[in-house]
Amino acid sequence: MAPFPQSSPWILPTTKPKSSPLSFTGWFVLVAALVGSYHLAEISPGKLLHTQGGSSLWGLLAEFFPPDLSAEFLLYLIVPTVKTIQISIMGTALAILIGLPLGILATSTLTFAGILFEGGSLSRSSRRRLWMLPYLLARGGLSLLRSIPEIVWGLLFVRIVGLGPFAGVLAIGLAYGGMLGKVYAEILEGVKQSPVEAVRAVGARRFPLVVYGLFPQAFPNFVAYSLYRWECAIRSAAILGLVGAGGLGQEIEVSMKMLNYPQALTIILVSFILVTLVDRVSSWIRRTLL
Amino acid sequence: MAPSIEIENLVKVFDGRVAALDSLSLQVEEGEKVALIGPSGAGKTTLFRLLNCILTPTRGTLRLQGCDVTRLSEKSLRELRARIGTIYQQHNLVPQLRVAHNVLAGKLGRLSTARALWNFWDPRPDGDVVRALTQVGIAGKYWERTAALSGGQQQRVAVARALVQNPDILLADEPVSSVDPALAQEIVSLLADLAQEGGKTLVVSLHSVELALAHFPRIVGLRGGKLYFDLPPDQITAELLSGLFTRCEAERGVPERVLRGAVSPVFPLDSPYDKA
Repeated sequence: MAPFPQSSPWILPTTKPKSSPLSFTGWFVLVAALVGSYHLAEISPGKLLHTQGGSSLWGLLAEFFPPDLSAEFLLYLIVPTVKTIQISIMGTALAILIGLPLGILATSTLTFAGILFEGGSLSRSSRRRLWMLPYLLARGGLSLLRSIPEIVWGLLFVRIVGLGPFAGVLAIGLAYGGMLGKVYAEILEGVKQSPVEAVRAVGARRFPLVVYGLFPQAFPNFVAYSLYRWECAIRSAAILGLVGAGGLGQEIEVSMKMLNYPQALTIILVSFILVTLVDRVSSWIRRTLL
Repeated sequence: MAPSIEIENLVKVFDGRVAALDSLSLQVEEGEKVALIGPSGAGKTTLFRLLNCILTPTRGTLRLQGCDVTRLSEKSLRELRARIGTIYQQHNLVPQLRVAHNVLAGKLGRLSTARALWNFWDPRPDGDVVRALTQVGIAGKYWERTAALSGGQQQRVAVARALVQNPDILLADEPVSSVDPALAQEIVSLLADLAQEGGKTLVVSLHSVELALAHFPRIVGLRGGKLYFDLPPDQITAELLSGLFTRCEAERGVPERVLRGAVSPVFPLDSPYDKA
């Protein structure tokens, strides 16, 4: 006789649930994609080491050494280096300026869903649905901004505002604004709702409610992710130089075109040091601030 | 004078499926002190979230100080919320903020947006705040980060926030389940005394039946979203209590969906365990 009554079907499982057939399909697609892409991307490692025609890997690398460490060239690099840092800082600042308001609009828990919209009269639900429009527009805008790579934005803005750092700032600002806004929205949607509910329950107005209950919870993650984006912006600022947006990238391009590889290597080393430094600075800010 | 709380046939259904409250009727007069007891899942927390105007009733009437909550404008609803204070089981403080901000948040219902933002920037304590913090015994922690406090200290901060709010109706949902018995006794007495002095209406849900019987002249038993009894403590018998807390199927961990027959049990009934 069963020791459990019929109405209590909650019995411990004795066998591991079978993995779904979907996972086999998944593996198959993954392997097929790898094999297919290998051929379609015309991958042939031999080409890296060939000796006839063009320059071989080793030959080219040898031409880079030793790096040009003359005082004259290093002094000359100070201005482009500072310019790269400035592009990254202004670009990130612009990205935050674009990302924050759009990110807030793209947060469903702030515009139409969740605990902030519970309570009170039932007839208000239709007005709530009206707020989905700015939400959807913000989501769409953010996707558009970040789906265009910063290098394409850069090419575009060099045409509009001319060669120079400003084009780089705009390119980083728009592309990164799209990424920041999306992540800000995700952070805001992910905060613990119970403290927000408590602040709402004391009768707080909408804006103070967000300032007291929501933002303090999201702030550490906002700072951490914005700093990470700043690190990426330094790399981007260097690359954007290639399309004429000034800074170290432009110097690399000039050196490479003039076949002055030792100078190019020096610039690469400088960017490497720069990225490492920014990494240090941002992790220091994170540690002290959070 | 309208009663503080008037509930008639109140129903709250979540996601159109699970009824947390099932035609509950209850009336609490101004200045009354009521303890709410019942098993977990009885609907106590849902009742509190309806009483502090966070949730909207699905059906039935809920009148607070004579106002029907489903008919209020957003503004009147906010003003009503300012007169209802809540203390939560999980404190519901913002852990990243200082104690100062969490306590001052209690005033937000009465402040203009500008004043609220100024207080956030410069959270200096005023007379109310000092009095509240002294009453709960954590005046020395005012500038500390809330997350750095122990569970008991955080619960005191939550009580201080409600004191600073100075509401007409004070709700406390399991306010002492995360503190040691001595502090639990202390907090419940504090709440009862405060309600007594200020003529406030007090509704407290408690796990501890002894605490409820010792401090409250009226005990409401809630079970399965329904009123199980509503009696003074001297009429609460052991049978009533065991009836209230006897576990039924829904509370033993069987998902609601299985009970309603929406999905079949995952495991066959003739499992190896049955043959043992």
